[in-house]
Amino acid sequence: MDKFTQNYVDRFMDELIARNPGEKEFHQAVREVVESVAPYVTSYPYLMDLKILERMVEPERVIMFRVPWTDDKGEIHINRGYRVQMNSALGPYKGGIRFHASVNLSILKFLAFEQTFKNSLTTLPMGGGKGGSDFNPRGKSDAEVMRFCQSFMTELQRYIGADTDVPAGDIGVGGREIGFMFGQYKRLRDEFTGTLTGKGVAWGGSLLRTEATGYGVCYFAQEMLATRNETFEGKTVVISGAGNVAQYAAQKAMQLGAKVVTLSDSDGFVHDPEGLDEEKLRYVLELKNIRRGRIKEYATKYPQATYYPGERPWRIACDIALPCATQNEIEKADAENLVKGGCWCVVEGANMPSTPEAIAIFQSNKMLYSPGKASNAGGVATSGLEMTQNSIRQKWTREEVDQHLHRIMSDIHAACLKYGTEPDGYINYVKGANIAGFIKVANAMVDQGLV
Amino acid sequence: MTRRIRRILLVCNNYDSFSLEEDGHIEAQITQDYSELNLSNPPSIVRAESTLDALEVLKEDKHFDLIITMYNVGKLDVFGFSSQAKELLPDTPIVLLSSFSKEIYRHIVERDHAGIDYVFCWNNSTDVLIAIIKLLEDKLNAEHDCLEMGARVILLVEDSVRYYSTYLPLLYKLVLQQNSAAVRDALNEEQQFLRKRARPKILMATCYDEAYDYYQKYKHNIIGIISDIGFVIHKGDKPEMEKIDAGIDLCRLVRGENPTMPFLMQSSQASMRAVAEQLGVGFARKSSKTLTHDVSEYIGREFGFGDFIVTDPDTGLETARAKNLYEFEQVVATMSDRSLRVLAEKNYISRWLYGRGIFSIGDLFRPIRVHSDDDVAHIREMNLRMIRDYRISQGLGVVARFDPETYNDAIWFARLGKGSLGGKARGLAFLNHILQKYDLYDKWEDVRVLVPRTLVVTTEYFDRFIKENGLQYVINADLTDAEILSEFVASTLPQELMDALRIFIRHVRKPLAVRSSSKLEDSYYQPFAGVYSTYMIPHTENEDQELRLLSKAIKSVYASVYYASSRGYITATANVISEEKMAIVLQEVCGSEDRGYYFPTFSGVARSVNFYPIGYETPEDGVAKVAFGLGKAVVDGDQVLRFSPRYPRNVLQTSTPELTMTETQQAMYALSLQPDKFKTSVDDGVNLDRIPITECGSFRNFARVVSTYDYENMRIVDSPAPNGPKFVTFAHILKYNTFPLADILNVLLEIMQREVKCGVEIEYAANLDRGPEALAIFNVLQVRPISVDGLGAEVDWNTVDCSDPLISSESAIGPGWISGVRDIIYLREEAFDTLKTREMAAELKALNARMRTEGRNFVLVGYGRWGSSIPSLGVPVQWGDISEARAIVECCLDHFRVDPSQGTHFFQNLTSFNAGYVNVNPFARPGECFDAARLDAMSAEFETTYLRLVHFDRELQICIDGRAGKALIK
Repeated sequence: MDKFTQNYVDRFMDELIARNPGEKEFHQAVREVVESVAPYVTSYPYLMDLKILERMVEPERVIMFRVPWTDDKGEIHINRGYRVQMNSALGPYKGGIRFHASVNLSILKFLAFEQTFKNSLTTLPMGGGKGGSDFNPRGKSDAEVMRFCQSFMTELQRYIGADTDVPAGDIGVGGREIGFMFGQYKRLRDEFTGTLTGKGVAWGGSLLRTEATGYGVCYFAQEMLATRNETFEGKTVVISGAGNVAQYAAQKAMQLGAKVVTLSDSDGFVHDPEGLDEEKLRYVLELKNIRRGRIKEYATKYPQATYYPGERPWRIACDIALPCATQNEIEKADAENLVKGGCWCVVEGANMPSTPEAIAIFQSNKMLYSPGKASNAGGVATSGLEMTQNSIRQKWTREEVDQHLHRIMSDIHAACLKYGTEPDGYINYVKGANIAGFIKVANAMVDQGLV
Repeated sequence: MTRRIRRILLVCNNYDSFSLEEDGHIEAQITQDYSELNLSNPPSIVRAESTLDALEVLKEDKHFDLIITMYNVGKLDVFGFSSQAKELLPDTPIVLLSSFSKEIYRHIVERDHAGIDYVFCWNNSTDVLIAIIKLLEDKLNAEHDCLEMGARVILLVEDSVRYYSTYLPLLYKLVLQQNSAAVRDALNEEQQFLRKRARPKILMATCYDEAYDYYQKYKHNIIGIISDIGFVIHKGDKPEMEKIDAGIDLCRLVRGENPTMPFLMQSSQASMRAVAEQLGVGFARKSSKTLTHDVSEYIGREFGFGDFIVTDPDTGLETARAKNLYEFEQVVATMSDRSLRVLAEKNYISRWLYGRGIFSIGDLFRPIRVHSDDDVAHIREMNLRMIRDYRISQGLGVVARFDPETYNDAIWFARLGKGSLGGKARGLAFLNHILQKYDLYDKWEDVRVLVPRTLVVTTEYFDRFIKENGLQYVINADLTDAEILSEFVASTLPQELMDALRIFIRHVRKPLAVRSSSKLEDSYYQPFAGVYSTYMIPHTENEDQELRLLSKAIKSVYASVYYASSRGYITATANVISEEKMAIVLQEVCGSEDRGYYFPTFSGVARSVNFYPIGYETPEDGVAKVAFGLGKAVVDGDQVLRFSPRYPRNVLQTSTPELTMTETQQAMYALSLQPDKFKTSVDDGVNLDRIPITECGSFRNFARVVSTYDYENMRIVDSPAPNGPKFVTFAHILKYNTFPLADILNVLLEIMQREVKCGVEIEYAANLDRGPEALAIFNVLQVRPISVDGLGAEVDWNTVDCSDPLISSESAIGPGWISGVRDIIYLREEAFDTLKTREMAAELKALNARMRTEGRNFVLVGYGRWGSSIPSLGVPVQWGDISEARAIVECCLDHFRVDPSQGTHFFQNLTSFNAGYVNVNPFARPGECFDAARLDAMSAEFETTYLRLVHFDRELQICIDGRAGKALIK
């Protein structure tokens, strides 16, 4: 970063901290974004002139409201509800609602800020927002949760709508809570619209939500491989994790002709040199989703596989690695192992699975590497697809949703390509994703004038 | 109060006396007759030789319940005597007893006999005396016993002295014999007493008016009428005024109102038989040689006396017979639909029950009228349930003596041998008694609450076993547990015990739990629970095999008295091992068979005091744990569902999908039914299998206790939906009340606490898998005072020195005093940074591991929420990172005040390790403190960037009292 840019960043952050004292999480999130986009901003002076960044860090609207409710004993409780409507340059505010004791304005502003760029990156018409309450569903009865949700929505409904703000679920808000809130919204507004996403599949929810992230990772990887005229066909793929993302990434990779040789959980990983097939994957789905067993049982069931307790799969020789387990699961040594094992493509399914040191190794080896914010955007995208289906009052089949997902992942890839291609032709997906997410929002704000 | 004839004045001259007593002293004769008829309290008799003597006696002593006078008794004749006697004792009945003589009767009729209540004919048998006594007692008690208690009545209408004098003794004999059969069904003296009192009363009318009055008054109690045909209308009418068809009038009246009322008409004229047949009633000819037999037969059949007899409706041949209720139940279960229908319509079932004094179900049977064949199955099922409930309810609350002859499936709690029951069995007997006392057995619809069927082998057999096998030496021998066990198993149980056990298993036909009931457990407060072994054995079709398993289990329990751990325990509690004697509790295991396993739908424990109240629970609300399958999961401290019975819908562990997926039961225990799985072993869980919940999908009961995670809709569905992982949430039961678990526990805890007079813990199990017909079973397995854990002893804060505390708080949950801690680990306030909590967690993890290897526990103090999933709110540790902490303290800082976790993050761990949770928030509750400065001033044994470990050379005083919500550490 040049000195001018650095000064710009420092000055910007000083002002931000002064204006938003005590909001540590928000400060940290803004710093990360500003540092990544600052070189771009400083090279387009009109962005500075129009104070685009300054405008971005100020929420368009913050709603903070009282949520009174009675518990099953008839006692009254007061919680605080929030909705941070961060940015609507690209579409209606979109972002989750979180019910957790930790919820406060700083955290929601930070989440809403990040959400703006995540949504932008999906290429779908979605702005950014976040909301929630310091209500803790732990230990509450269904009836109490319902009364809380209804009270929360009774106030929130004034500020949201299918074309205004479309909240989704988040921590503490699952299918049950979305249902209660949707019901109350519908009752008060007398309209059945797609004002919330994450709805029940029978009443407006989209199909393929479970599979979307995993499939999306592979679609994105497909595009990356295509930049080197490669496909999944015949490639050896190492996957970490055994949850939703890993399962469906494995399934899609297999469908695309790859040989998936590992899966893992927090206890260790299994290596099946023969690769997974339909039947083995069915077993894994049953094992993890229904029986909730450990992945080591795979090696008992299929003796040709070896179980490595306490280890991560990165030392297994492969072409492609799909880290789909958890953050920081690829550290420096793991990255070196991957390089040693012949891996040349790393596509993240989890959030931030690679440490900065690991990323540096990938990039210095000119490997194909995509950060999670780009390659795992399939999950966010389905939320947008749910909105779309609600707006056109249609329900797509799995195949239709899958097609749209595929297209979206290609679009995201194209955006990364556009902003991430370095002068030597190497594609820096980290940079591409950061700037692509930002630039779309920034340009829209420029276009829409000072609002 | 029952009124009885206790003292009789007998007025008779010496001759009469001689004839009365030719078979021995009259009192002795009556006493003997009483005992033969199973009657108690025979009357005492005072004799006077003449009427004048008698009057003298009466002037001195008015305590006579009856005066019986013979005819020739001195100068003052009986008529004069009786009127004078009446003046002295107006309420005492006077009976004239005379040998049969037309002359005398004419006199009686002619003279003023107002003072004489009854005239009887002496037939040289004390039978008549007993009949007189009973008749008078019945008359005295009829109103109370019949109208208030529901006793039945037989109405006899007869004006012939001679006839009723022979007839009444016969009738009484029948009734009393019948009754003693019913009394034999009773399990203890109290029940016997009640049954005796419930025998049908006999009321005798000697004229139409009297018969009519009796009928009107007792028409709902009368089980049958025996009536003469010709008798007078009004009392005192002369014999020649007899209405020759008065009995027929009476019959028409009765039958008009009640067409099924048994009515036996009697006449000396054979021609009346046709009339009786026309009326559809029974007939007996008075002069018939077979009169006694005819009457017995009619009464036995129609009044519901004698055995319960089922006849084929077509052939009239007997197809089944029941002597007692146990057989009755089986006969009702197996008789043909047609027979059942006929008997139900004839009201025979209800009459038979009435005849035996069992009114409560007799009443239930009464309204049954069959309209179609479809009803029959329903009636049968209903009847069987009522009979069974009745039999069981009779068995509840009673400790019966085990008698191989009479043992049957309704005897719920029996003891074998003369020794002590032992502490646990006594507790069970108490429980059994309480359940009965409060009528809990059928308090809830669709579920029956009771203790499991139990046989207690008293300590007598332990003594005999030790002595007969010469095992006394084991007390002082230096043997390992395994050696002791093999010594014991190789020995033999007394033959008498084996014979009894064989009868027992023949009746139970279910797996058995073989538990110890130690004599030293007598003392409430000595926690022997869990010191001795409890084995479970399967039921097998091969009786010899099962008997072998059972005896092996009993011997294994006997052996456990001498195991090292029990010896240690006994020594530690200052008891002497040679005093220890073991009774054995054999109990039916609650549950049903499923795929080679046997287990209850759920089992658990409930406590009346909750040291860890959360949300709006209070300590007094109590707390319960419940697990799918056998209770081993609960007792061993596995992760099971915890809830407050007052708030069954607020279950922490199932309140969010994330908690449901990680915090619910992981595995269940079931008894393996393979006999070869039961091996001789010091491990009493040798044949219990631990089955992961994920492999329980095919158990029938599973659907009753699980919810499913619906991936597609991201929510927990409270049903066993086909797709998605299953979690043991008990939502059906707790949220939707498909079984009144919470209510039962609330009631039980409340009652037990009241009865035991302190906090109690209850162990329970329930089986909901009983097929479509049978009702669910809720077994209460044990009740004990809560302080047996040595925990939760109430803290008297007035006596606690609270000065100069390191930590004090008014918001805490925990078990009370915690001992053995000398270390405090705390976060350094100056280094605390919400962005560095992950680093703090890593440092703690390492330090905790070190403390573990050194066997040291500590108090952990920090800021924000321990175990927070969001690092900015507190240190995101896992329990394993702080497992050695015995108290977790969450503090606030001026600039960092987050909602406390209230211990819910580590709730399971806190409760199973009896650790405490403390929240210190002086901003909200002035006066609370954490004196960090004092710790800072001490030298640290170990310190890092973020934390310090301070060691004390004394034990810290730690009291974390969930009951009062207070904590003090100093």
